[in-house]
Amino acid sequence: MNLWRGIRKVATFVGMAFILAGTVSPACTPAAAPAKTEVMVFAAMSLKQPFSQAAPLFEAENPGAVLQFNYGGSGTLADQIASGAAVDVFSSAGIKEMDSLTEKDLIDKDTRRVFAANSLVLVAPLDHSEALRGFNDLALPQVRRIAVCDSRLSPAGLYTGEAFKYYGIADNISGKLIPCPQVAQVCDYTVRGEVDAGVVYLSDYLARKSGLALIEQAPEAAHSKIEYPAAVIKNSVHKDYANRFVSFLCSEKCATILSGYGFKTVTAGN
Amino acid sequence: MEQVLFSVRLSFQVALIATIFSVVFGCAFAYLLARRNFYGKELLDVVLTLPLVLPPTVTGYILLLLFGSRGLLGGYIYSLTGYTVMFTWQAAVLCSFIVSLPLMIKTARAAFESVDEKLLQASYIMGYSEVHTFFRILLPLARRGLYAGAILAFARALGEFGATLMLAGNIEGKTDTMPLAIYADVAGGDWNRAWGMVLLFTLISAVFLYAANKLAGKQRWA
Repeated sequence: MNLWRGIRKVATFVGMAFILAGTVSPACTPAAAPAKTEVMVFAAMSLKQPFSQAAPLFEAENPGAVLQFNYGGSGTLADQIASGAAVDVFSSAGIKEMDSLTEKDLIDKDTRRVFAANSLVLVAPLDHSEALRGFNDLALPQVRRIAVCDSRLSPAGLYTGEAFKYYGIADNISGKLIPCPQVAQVCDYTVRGEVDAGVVYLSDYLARKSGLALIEQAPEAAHSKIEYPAAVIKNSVHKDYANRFVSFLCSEKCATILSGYGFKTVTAGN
Repeated sequence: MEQVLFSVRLSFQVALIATIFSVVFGCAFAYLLARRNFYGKELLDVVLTLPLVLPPTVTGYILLLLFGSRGLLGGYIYSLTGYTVMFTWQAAVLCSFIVSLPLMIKTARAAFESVDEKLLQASYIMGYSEVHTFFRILLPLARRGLYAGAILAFARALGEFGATLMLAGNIEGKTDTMPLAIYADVAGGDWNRAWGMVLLFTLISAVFLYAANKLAGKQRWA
């Protein structure tokens, strides 16, 4: 008798849980006017701020669309797309990730455009050593820890490695490097003074100017071009809006926003 | 291959040391919480349990604020000795310790509270000190629960990731414990190495846990 009562109690609770789950599920939420098309954009983390600012402009021009963003490390995003995520547009912080998807035939090749470029800068905490005046000074003994992006996890790491080779310091400083999963972490360690210097994108430095001292900007020749391509995913079901978004990224309006965040813009397509 | 072996060795070294600290401090705190009443007792309990419920990144951030080279505690230590725990394997031990401590405390407290009060009273009546009672009466009687707690603590310490990544960093050959190394390999696309480590890690952990359970397991009914 007690067992049966117990079972009934449990069953009631479980049933209530299911009903609750059903009523608050999105499918049951009354739709707000004619459903807008959700355009899914996977973008590199460094594009988060400019894209957030540019999104309302695009949505104003295209009232039937609403942009959804998924920000992350370019490599992680590319993996997710390759595993079949339902995405419309991909924008990476480097050519390699876009190329890897192109090789797997997941991109509409003719839609690929480069819409922005970035530079690499050496930054340091505000109270950094006087001796630190440029990349070459990283080899000095006063500089004990240098935060960089992990090249396995972020394209920034690859560019940083190239820059170190360009300056000829790669071997000298290999023991001082603190690899980080993303550029934001490099910024954070540097602002906090946990490291003596860090290598980030110019756009990241401008975003956290108040806490960082700019030591040197690496010349273009120091690394491969840091270009931001965007393209429409082959399996996208919203190709119309996806194409419009990529064109929008190359437009003057978007270029103004991007420059504001420290990106160099390319107004003609790639 | 060498890097993989280093990560394995480092993980077990870190987890073992963290577990020892967890067991010592865990038993101490558990005894306090089980056998004493004092002002702020519940607050202490909550604070000690926090690492169990906070996301590891939050725990990591708090530890960074405390132990970073300009942190509340870390700042003092740095200005006095020039030593900072940041980006060292000791930081990994610290993180593993902090997250496994609550598990040990909870389990140990339950174990202590399950020991018949009368036996402890008998010890006191016979004139034994509290210290003697703790080590010779309470601990042996509670040992099953303590073994369980230690095993849980070790398992948690072994798998610690979020806080460790922030404090110790993922420096190859220095602080890359298994979870960190696997993360970097998976994210970097080096699936072969990642798979190798996952299998190795799982196998070694399973063997260890089996042995630990065997040690704690034999029920002897009087």
